[in-house]
Amino acid sequence: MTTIQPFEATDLFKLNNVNLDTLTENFPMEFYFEYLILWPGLFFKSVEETVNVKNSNHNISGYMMGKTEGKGQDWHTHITAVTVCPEFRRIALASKLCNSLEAITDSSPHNVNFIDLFVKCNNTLAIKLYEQLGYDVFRRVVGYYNQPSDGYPETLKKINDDKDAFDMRKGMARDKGKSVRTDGRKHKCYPHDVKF
Amino acid sequence: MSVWEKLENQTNELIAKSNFKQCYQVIDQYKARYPKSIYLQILEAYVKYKQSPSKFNFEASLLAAYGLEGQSYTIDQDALGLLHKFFFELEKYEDALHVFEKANAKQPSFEISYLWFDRALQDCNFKQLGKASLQLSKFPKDSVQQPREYYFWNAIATVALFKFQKHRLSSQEEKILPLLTYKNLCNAKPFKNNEETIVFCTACEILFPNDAEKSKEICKETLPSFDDSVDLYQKNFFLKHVERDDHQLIFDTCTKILKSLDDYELMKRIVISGKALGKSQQDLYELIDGLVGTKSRNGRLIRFEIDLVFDKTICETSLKYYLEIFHNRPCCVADINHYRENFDNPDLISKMLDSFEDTADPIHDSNAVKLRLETNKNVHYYNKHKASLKTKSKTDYSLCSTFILALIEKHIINASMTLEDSIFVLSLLENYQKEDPNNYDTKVWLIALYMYLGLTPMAYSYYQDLSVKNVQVDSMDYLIYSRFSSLFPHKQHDYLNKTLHEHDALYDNSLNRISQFISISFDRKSYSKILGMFEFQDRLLKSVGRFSKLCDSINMTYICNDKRTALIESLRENLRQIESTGDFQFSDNRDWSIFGFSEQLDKKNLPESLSYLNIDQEWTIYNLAKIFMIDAIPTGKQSDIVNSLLNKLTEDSLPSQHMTSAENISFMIINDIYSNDASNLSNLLNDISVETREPTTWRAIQTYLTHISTLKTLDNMKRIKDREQKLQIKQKLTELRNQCDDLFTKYKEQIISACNTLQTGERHDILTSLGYAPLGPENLTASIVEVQKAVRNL
Repeated sequence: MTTIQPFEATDLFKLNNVNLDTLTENFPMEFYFEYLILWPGLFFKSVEETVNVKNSNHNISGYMMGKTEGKGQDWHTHITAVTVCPEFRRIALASKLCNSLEAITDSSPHNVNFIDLFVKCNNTLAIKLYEQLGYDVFRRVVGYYNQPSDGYPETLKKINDDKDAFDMRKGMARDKGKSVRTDGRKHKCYPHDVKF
Repeated sequence: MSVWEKLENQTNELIAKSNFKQCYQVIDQYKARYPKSIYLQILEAYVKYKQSPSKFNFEASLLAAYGLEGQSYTIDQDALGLLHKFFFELEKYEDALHVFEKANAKQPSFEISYLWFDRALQDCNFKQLGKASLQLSKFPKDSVQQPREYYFWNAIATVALFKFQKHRLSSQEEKILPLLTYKNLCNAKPFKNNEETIVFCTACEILFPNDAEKSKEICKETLPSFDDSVDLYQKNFFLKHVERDDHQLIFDTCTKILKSLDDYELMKRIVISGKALGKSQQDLYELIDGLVGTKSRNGRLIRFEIDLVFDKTICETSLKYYLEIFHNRPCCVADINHYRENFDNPDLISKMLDSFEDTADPIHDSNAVKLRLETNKNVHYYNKHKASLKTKSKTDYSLCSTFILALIEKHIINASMTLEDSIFVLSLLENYQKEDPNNYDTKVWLIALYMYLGLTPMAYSYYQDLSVKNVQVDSMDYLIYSRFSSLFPHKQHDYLNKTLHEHDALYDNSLNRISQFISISFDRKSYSKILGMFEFQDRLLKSVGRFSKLCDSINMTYICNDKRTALIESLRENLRQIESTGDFQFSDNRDWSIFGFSEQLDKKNLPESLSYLNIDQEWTIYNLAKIFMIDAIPTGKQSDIVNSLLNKLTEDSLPSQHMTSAENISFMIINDIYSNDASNLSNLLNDISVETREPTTWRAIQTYLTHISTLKTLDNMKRIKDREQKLQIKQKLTELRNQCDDLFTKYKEQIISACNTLQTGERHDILTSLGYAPLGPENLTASIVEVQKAVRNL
């Protein structure tokens, strides 16, 4: 029983059921505020109406942080974070959040050409989920998840599934297939190439 | 940095060192160069005030000139800034902002209006913010924004005023401001983007509640947007304000939006309007399946609503339709509980869930337990599914925790709890946590129970695993930092030395930046989130967790004989910020839902296992008052802040209702010295004794340390001159310290004894049946020793 609602700053007090998950990043306040200010329509949450809010303040089941960036052909939506709390997993809620972002930014005033996201090359479950949603690998970003101790990648020849990201894209109708590659996994780039 | 900024920094440093002679010399040097400078006149007055606050006649020297009734003004921006700071410290919050209003009235300029707006934003004074924003619209040549933009700024300020600070409004303003705001916004039409439309709709909604005409206007503004865009705010405005009987419009619009957005609210409205338009149940089933698919949870759940709207009861077929996919999804519990009372046959859920027994996985069985359909099968279910704990991904969570939590529920959600109960519960949790290390449902209870036992180092270790940081700190830190100074005052331990300081960054840095973010939001025309940011800032500013930690930090200085002047000044500054909002309340942002058991857990009447967390607004006020009493006692005078704090309490409020017995005694003693010249001190000191009640738990440690803190504070008080009383204090202190080792030795014995009870009997059998080993006393007693070492030399 999910409704999609705008994310408000006060929701940051109510995210423990989502953000205590070990794989969910708990960002600094400033980062959340940046998204609230710069992309107010692209930061939203899923709210569960079946949760009794008289007893529990955990009625937010997940949230989406997105942004729009790029110019010309590269004008697109980027999925920064999409996460769902354990109690509301396995019900395709992450897909619903992605679809909602797509509905919002594939229409006025955004009208983007494509939506992209980054996913670790070894995260096969997530890659499969995004493929089911219509995303394809556009290119491999070598060393995207490098730690400072790993340094910046010096070559595109040395790949590591645990350190590299797939830049996955889904083209909108107006993109006319320009952001889709059937051989995306063969294309490699450096992290600075994915800055818009 | 300007000349005056440099000078102000220099004087601030000299004031901090109480070097007033040099301070005046520096100011005199500047006065020789700038004899007519108003800034220097104000700075000199400020230094005089800082030198001797009680002797400073601010009414004659400042209020009469620059206050609300004063005739003087300045347009010097540095002088205005200093006047604001000065009035703010004197707790004349309206006067502090009025200096800008007056300057602007005498010599209007964009710069002063903007400064006024900025300070009003920092002070969270929405009335002044509204006035300043209207002034900004009057300088089109100087501003980068178009004048119409400031009407939106003004509308947001006015809405915030009506929503959060209605107490600031006169009855006349209550009538005029909505009309003025509405008129200005209408003049700004046509709106250029969604953000402007949202401001208009919000203003109509908040400033004209229950006004049917304004609701019509809201719908008129939002409707066109659904043709080519999807905006969540506009969806909400439409759903809230569309005429209830306009079923065709509701049906058509919601259907249109539902094509883009799988949203339950939209579905519910389609169902109601659909029925009114003569659609059948089957028509609606098919319509929604066609829009969101047959596998959507919303799509399956909406059949419950359809049944209720048509038949006032949920049919078996709809329940089956939902459960055939969701019987083994964790959401099933919330969904079924929500509709539980609407099933004709209460046994239907159990019967239906049983029909999926063949495919019962841990989630299916945990749903049965959470729905209270199975109450005695927890051990059976755990054993049935424990193999899955070995095969699941390490970062995944297992619902097997449900069976363990169900086993411990009666102990942890209870008004009483024995030490044996605690050790049994910890045995179950510790064993489970090893199998499912990332599960926080169980981990929070481990933390709470170790804190309950006063074993802070063990609780801290688990708390670190949760990686609590950033905003989360405010809602989670209460788990281990409630009463930290009287539970584990180990200054060198990471618990205080590292984590506590790191977590303070939220209040020391991030909180102070929020008004900057709000200012950026105005500048960038990101209007929709500003009201939420105002509320967020207010709740963080007034956080109970924040103030309980501030109280404890100062309490640490009593225990450790540390300097506290800077901490008290900082506390005072933080309280001024609350006072300046005109609404002195604390905000309880603590997340109690993290413990689960949401229906049983009453935060006003906590179970014994969470008794160490019984801190409320009154507790905070009594502790703050005590701190300022201690601060005022050497002066022999009554303190305004103490009176002001105690006035916030209701007449029938007693400290004993909100504090532990040791905290209550401490408050009574300090209050006696502050208010009654220690006339009852000797009697009150006789109430100080080590807790002898068993089991020891957090209470005895907290009692011991609270008494130590009280006695050390008294021992350092020069105001107590009575020789017998001084001797009594020293004797009590020695007596107490002599009992320290005994206290912890007895506690260790109690723990060992409680652990031994698990070696045989029913609880031993339960642990064995789960394949669990009883908790040994070694780690527990080692932790007691660690606490003892931190405490014994205080």
